[in-house]
Formats: sequence, C-alpha cells, structure tokens
Amino acid sequence: MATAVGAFGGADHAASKSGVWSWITTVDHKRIGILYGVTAVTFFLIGGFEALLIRLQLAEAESTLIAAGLFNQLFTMHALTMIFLAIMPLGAAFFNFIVPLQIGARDVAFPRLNALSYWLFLFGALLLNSSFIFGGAPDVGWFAYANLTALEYSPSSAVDFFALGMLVLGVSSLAAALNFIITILNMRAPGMTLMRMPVFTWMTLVVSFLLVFALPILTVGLVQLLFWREFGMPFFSAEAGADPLLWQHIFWLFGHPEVYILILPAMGIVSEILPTYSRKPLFGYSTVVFAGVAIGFMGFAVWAHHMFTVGLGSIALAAFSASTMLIAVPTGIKIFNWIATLWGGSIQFTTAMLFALGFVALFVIGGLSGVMHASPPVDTQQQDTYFVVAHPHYVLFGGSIMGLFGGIYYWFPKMTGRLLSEGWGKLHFWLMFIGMNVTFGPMHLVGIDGMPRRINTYDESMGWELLNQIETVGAFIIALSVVVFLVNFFKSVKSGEPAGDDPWDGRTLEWSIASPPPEYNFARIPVVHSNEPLWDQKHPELKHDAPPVIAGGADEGAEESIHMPNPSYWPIVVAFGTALAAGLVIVNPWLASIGAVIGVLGIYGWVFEPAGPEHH
Amino acid sequence: MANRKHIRPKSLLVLLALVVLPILAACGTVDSAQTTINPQSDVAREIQGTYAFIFWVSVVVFVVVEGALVYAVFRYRRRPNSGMPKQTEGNMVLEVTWTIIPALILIAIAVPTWITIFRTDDIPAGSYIINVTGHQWWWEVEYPDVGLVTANEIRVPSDRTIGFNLETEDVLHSFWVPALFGKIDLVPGRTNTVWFTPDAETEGQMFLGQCVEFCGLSHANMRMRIFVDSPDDFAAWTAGLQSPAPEPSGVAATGHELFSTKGCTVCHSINGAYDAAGLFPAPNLTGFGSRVTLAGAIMENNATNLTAWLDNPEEIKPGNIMYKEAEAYKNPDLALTDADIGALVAYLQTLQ
Ligand code: HEM
Ligand SMILES: [Cu+2]
Repeated sequence: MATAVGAFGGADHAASKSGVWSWITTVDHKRIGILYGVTAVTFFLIGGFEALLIRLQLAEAESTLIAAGLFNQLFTMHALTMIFLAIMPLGAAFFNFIVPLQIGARDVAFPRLNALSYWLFLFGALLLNSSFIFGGAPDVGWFAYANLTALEYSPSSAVDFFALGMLVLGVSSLAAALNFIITILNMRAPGMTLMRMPVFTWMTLVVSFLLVFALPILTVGLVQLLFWREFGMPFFSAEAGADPLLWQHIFWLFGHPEVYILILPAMGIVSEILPTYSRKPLFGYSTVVFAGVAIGFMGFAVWAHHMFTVGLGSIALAAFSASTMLIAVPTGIKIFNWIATLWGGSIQFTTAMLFALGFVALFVIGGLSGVMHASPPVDTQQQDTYFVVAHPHYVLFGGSIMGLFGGIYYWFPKMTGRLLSEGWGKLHFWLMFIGMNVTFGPMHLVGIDGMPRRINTYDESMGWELLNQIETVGAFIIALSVVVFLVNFFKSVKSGEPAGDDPWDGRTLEWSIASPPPEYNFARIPVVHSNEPLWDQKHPELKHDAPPVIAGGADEGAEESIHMPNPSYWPIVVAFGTALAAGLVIVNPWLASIGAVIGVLGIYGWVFEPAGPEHH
Repeated sequence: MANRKHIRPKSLLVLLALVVLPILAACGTVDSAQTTINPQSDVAREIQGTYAFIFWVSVVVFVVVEGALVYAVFRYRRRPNSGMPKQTEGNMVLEVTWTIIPALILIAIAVPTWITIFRTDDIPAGSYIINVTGHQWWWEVEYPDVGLVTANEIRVPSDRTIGFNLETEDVLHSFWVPALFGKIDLVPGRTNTVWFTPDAETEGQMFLGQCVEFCGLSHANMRMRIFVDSPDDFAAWTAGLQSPAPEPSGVAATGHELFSTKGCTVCHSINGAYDAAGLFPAPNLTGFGSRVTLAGAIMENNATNLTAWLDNPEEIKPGNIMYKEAEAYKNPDLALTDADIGALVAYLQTLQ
C-alpha cells in the first residue's frame, strides 16, 4: 500500500498545490468548499435551463413544443436539481469555506471524510442525471408519491435512478453533517462559547442536526421503495393491505425539515450581512439563535401540512394546522430582529446587502402565503395549484437563492482575494429581483384562477395564458441576471480589484486573516472574548471594558510548525465505488459488487494511509 | 466604494407598483373559468370566508412589515456625515412584544380555521350520494340510487346536498371543482368524502374541475364538469339513461355492429343492465351522445373531435389505455378504416 501511495505522489506536499490532481486529492476545507460551490452553480444552471423549457411550454395554451413525457421529467428533475444539487451544496460550500474560519479552526474535524462527502455528492448528482441518457429521467414529481412509483405504473428504471441517486446524495450529506457537528462542537477557538458563535455557524450546526435526524427517515423510505420495486415487498401497496400514504408520511417527515435545511443557511448568511453593512451588531443575537433552534425542533412536527387533502380527519387537520401556524412565530421573530438590526444603523448598499434585503422582503411574501395554506380548508383550494408553486419559489428563490447569492458577494473577496464588481453585481441583483417577481408573482394569481401545477397543457378558454406568458418573460429576465453574474464572476476572478483582508469592516474572525487565507488559516489560534471578536478589537472605544486583542493573523515563522493533513485520493475512490455500485444495481444487483469491491478497497487504502507527512 | 449611490424614491415607486398591482389584478381574476375565489356553494363559501379573513390579515402584516423594512432602509442609509451608529444589542421588551403579537394574530387565524374544518368534515345525513372512482385519466361516476354509471360529467340536482364517496382504481388522483368544494385526494385502499350544497342561482349552470394530484403521463388531460340541474331536469336525465337507447339504423347500425366486432365492448359497456362501477375498465358510454365533452372532458363532444379521438387516441391523450389495449389499435387486422370511424361516430351520437 505504501508504495501505491508514494507512486501517485499523494504525499508530495509542495507539488500538490496546483493542477487537477491537487483538486482531486485535496482535503483542505477551503478547496472543498470551492469545489462544492462551483459544482452547485453548474447544477443551478442546469436546473435553470430545465425551468426555462418548462416555461416555454407553458407560455402558450395547448402548446405542443414539449411532449408530456419529457415535460414530466423536466419538472421533476428541475426540482430535484435545484433542491439537492444546487441549494443544498451551495450551503455546503459556505459551511466548508467559512465555518472553520469563523470558529478559528485550521480545518474541519475529519478532512478526508469531508472530501468523501464532496465526491459522493458529485457522483450521486451524475448518477441521478445520467438517467436522461439511460431511458429517461424520473418523472413522478420530486416527492415521488406512491403508488405512481410502483413498478406497475412506472416500469422504466427512472424511479430506481431517483431512489439510488438520492441514497448516494444522502450518504454524502449525512457524512458532511456529522463532520460539521463535530467540528463546531469541538474545534472552536478558546473562549468561543456556544453563545459567542457567529450566527452563520449556529445555523450550520442546526442544519447539520436536522440532516442527521431527517435523512435516515428518507433513507428508510428509499430502501423500502427499492425493495418494493426490485423484490416485490409491498410496503406501499393497498392491494397487499399496506398504505400508500405511508410514503407521504415518510417523505414529508424528512421533507419538511428539508425545507429548513434549505433556508437556514441563507438565514445565517443574512444574519452576517445585515450587521456588517449596518455597522451594528445583530439585534437580539440570542433570540435569533433560539428562534433558529426552535424552528429546527418544530420542523419535525408539521410534516402533515403537505397532506391536508389526503383525508387525515378533522382532529389531525386541526393539530397540524396549529403546529404549522406556531412555526410562523419564530420565523417572524427573525424577520423583526433583522429589521431592528437595520434600525438606527448606517446602511451601506453593497450588492451583498441588496441581496440580503431582497431576501427579507421576498421571504416575508413566501411566509405569508405559507400561513394561508397552513389553514387546511384554504389549502384545499390552493394545494397542487400554481399558488403552491409561487410559495416555495418565494421562500426558495426569494429566500435561499437570494441569501446564497448575498453570501457569494459577501465572501468572494475572502475566498479569492478579489472583489466582485459592484456595478455588475447591482445589475445582477436588480435583474434577478425584478425577474423573480415577474416570474413567481403572477403564479399566485394563476393559482387562484385554478391552474393546477404539473400540467403540461391547458385550454385557451381557461384564461391562464396571459399570466403564463408574463411568467415566462420573467424567467428569461432571471436567466439574463444569471448571465450577468457569470460575467461578473469570471471577470472578477481574473482581474477583480484586490480585496485586502477585511474589505467590509467585518465583525467575525474570518476577516482577521489574509484573503485568500493561507492553507493553515490561522498561524496562531485566536482567543475569543465576544461574539464579534474582530469588531471589538477594531473598535475598543465602543465597549465599556476594552476587550483583549485577539491573536491570529499572519505570523511569519509560525507556519513551519503547523501540521496540515496530507492530500489523499482514497475519498474519491470510495465515492466512485459507492456510486458505481448504486448505478449498477439498476442494471443487475450482482454487477453492483464491482462497485462495492472498489469501495471496500478504497476504504482499505484509506485506513492504512500514513497520517503524517511521508519521509522518503 | 467611494461613489456609492443611493436608491432614489423612484425605485421605491416601482417596488410599490410591483406589490400593489398583483393585488389589484387578483381582484380581477374572479371571472376566470376555474377560479377558486368565486364560491357557489355553502362549503365553498365557508372556505372562502376563512381565506378572505386570512388574506386581509396577511395584507395588513405585509404592509406593516415591508413598510418598516423599506422605511428603515431609507431612513438609515449611510450618508457622508453618518457617524458610528449606536451598538444596540437587543431589547427584551420589544422582542417579547413581537413574539406575542404574531402569536395572537395566529390564534385569530387558527380559530376560524378550526371552525371551518369541523363544519365541513363529514357528509351531512340525508345527502344525495354519488360514488366517484378515479382512473388514469378519467372519472367514473356512479349513482347508486338509480343504478346508473357514467363518466367525467356529473349531473346533480339543485335542491339537495350532494355527497361524494371517492375511490381510485389505480394511482392517486384529486377531485376538485373549486367553485363548489375544495379538493380531496383519491387514495388507494381508502374512501374519502366531500360534499356541498349548490346555491339556488346555480341551477342550469356548469362548473369546471380537474384532477390536481399528479397522476402520470396524461395528468393534464383528466378534467371534469359538474352540471347543476333543476330537480325536474335531473329526474328526466336519469330516466332517459335508464330507458334503452333507440335501435340504431343506417350507418349507425353498422357502427353498432363494429362496436362489438372491433373489440370496443371488451372495455366499454353501454346501456342494458346496470353495470356497477369498476366492472368495466373504461368509461360507460350510456347516453354518450348527450354528453357535452369527451375524453376526460378535455374537448367538446362533436363529430370532428370524436373522429379524431377514434383515429388516434394516443395523440390526444398520451399513454391512455384505449390505445394500448384495444384490439382496433393493437391488431392490424382490426384497424379502423375511415368508413369504420364514420359509422362508429354515427352510432355513438345516437346514444342519447
Ligand atoms: C429560473 C428560475 C426558475 C423558474 C423559471 C422556475 C419555474 C418553475 C416552474 C414553472 C415550476 C412548476 C412545474 C410544474 O409543477 O408544472 C417549478 C417547480 C418547482 N421549482 Fe422552480 N423555477 C425556478 C427556480 C427554482 C429554484 C431556484 C428552486 C429551488 C430553490 C426551485 C424549486 C422548485 C420546486 C421545489 C418546484 C416544485 C416541483 C414539483 O412540483 O415537483 N425553482 N419551477
Ligand atoms: Cu391526476
């Protein structure tokens, strides 16, 4: 084994800092963060392209542009892609890059496991999307309700691609979540108590716990789904005395926490951006943190609000409408605290700030429509109409995506050492903000007009065409905004203005070190005395008792003695074996053992890989 | 960052327009064919009452919160002479207030919600019962009291409370005619129910609805209609369907023969004895000629459309069972000629 390691040069530290091989073998949380980010943005483009096709089809009544079968694949894959391959990994990109910097750590707790998470994500995503070439992508909606997923009604392997792709992605997220829980709980700099953690780190912790508790539920459901299809075990078939609603309960018991998994990272980002550009601390830090934790807990008690029309019975309806309305309280608290953070501040309209403000403004709309369908009788007129397409887009596009773009503008300088152009950035923001409202605003109306979701055609006489046309125009405005972003991104990576260490007068530890940070992040581990350590150090006059100076920053010479983990190619081997096994199950369960063997060999190599730098 | 620009009041106006216009436009959408906010029955009106209340509460919250946000953003924008703002870290009283007020608002919303849930839950005793079974992609409709089975178009008497028992033959579907009642899913292994009493003014009117739970390839083509008939019209309609259809003559007689020789009767039943729902895998065609629509209420029932349907059902409703299973499409020996189709159309139109 040792020769193999040597032969591939994995241990050569100096040579491993550039080139493709260095990215394949990297275990540096910052590089893994960048890999997550670039991959997620790529899938965002793919998911957006699918959305444009959907919108083109719907722009005309009785259109025959896209056949029903392809249309069903497109809306299913659009949602799966945006949720699992764009928003979640974009959050993970920031967890990876930013959290260790915010807590004053040199890396995550398990760097190779971190690399494994990324590679599993990439291969899981490729597996899911490869279904387009191997006989058709999943076409049963992103929540894949039983019994449409039964072999009888979905005989192609599209549903197997769904289940197996999601299983691989689930392993990836679970490993990452455990890694971040352990990192955050164990690797904080001295003095950083839980209630001194930056809010973004807090939300990462909450999201990681949500993943750890929610993903196994989905995993059980997916395994049942596969066993049902492959081995005829009738977990969800009514003919065998089972209940297809079991799938809905399982899916949403995972799925509702999942929507908080999608929004909490953005809420964390916004809670960093608003104080920075208002030059004020976050208003009610502990309330915002507790509200986030409360949302995490309550997220497990509201799943049946996705099932208000399945015939739950009055008592269950009343109970789940109550719990759903309750969850609006901590959500409201966050919004009020954000506005109070602005109040009395000195607000600077950078692009990042515009995205954060856009987030607040749009999330309020999504929250209010959510409260409307929290009422089961009202929901019987809204569920499965475009009203309920508008709602998730106000929270996921207006919320998550806007928040995550804010994060990109905010932390890009830290990641690359260069600033994104503010001019292009503002153009990006305004186009996206306007496009988003033109696209999803009218969906409320056409939903109230009774237009169902997931239909590929409608009659001209329904009177839905004009609103659909407006929506399609909006979608292209969004597409344009994304082009503006890409131009800005590529220009700035190459020739953006140098950022310096602390371009925004930041408040938290990541701004105390160089941009981009050195491999070891902190030459000396800082000692923390408040939840805004850098701000307090820069502005001692604002504190009654002058806080001690934090250490850290560049410290020539200290670097020599810092030990960083070696690069390793075993994570990608294990991930490849796992995804290959999953893919081959679809062809033939026996073939899957090829992938399994590769995976096991990978684990073997991983275990015996020398931990320290190798001396030849 | 030196030449930072401030947002001008003009953009504020644009913003305002963006939010106000949709609300105004919403008020103009009551007339669309399948609108959810023009209730025409007791149950739909009850739901609408709850919705209207929550909607207006939401509008107030929206204006207050967005107003505060926009105000703060303009009032506290950084100006050249802005100094260091006061480093306020929180305010317990304020934070408790804005926890309690939303909680109270939500209770105010929850109470009418719960009342509506319990008022609309079970079918009231003495209702006129209709059994509906969902199929990919059409609705089977059974009137157990008169022993009739029909499809996709549901006629109901205007002077009764109507109760539906809902089941599915295959996958999930959802039954919904927004002007009359909110949707309820059809779930394998269960019987769900929904009910409504039509308003007096609805007599003689037709209401649109469609399946709203994704049910596979042709989900978009699974639509339905409800006709509210006067009690007399309703009685005449049921009596008409119960009496045997006139003996076809001429081309229609040829069509009648083709109907069995081409294998149509394997799946479709017409007339005669009462075929309970679920006995045949395809719509019962009794009285087909008097239906307004065809193929899951997706198009008008006329000779042209009927011809197109018989010529190629797959093109009109992708994935449908007729095209997949019927001998006339599977077996080249039994393929329909144009003349066959003409005769079948003539025959089907005699089924009044
Ligand atoms: C260019 C921007 C986007 C456009 C034009 C767009 C458009 C659409 C449309 C038309 C549908 C309805 C399909 C149907 O049910 O018939 C849809 C569904 C959906 N979209 Fe988007 N979308 C966009 C961005 C996003 C983003 C960023 C997310 C995720 C955060 C997202 C998440 C979803 C979800 C979860 C659904 C429900 C899918 C389903 O019903 O299975 N969308 N989108
Ligand atoms: Cu359906």
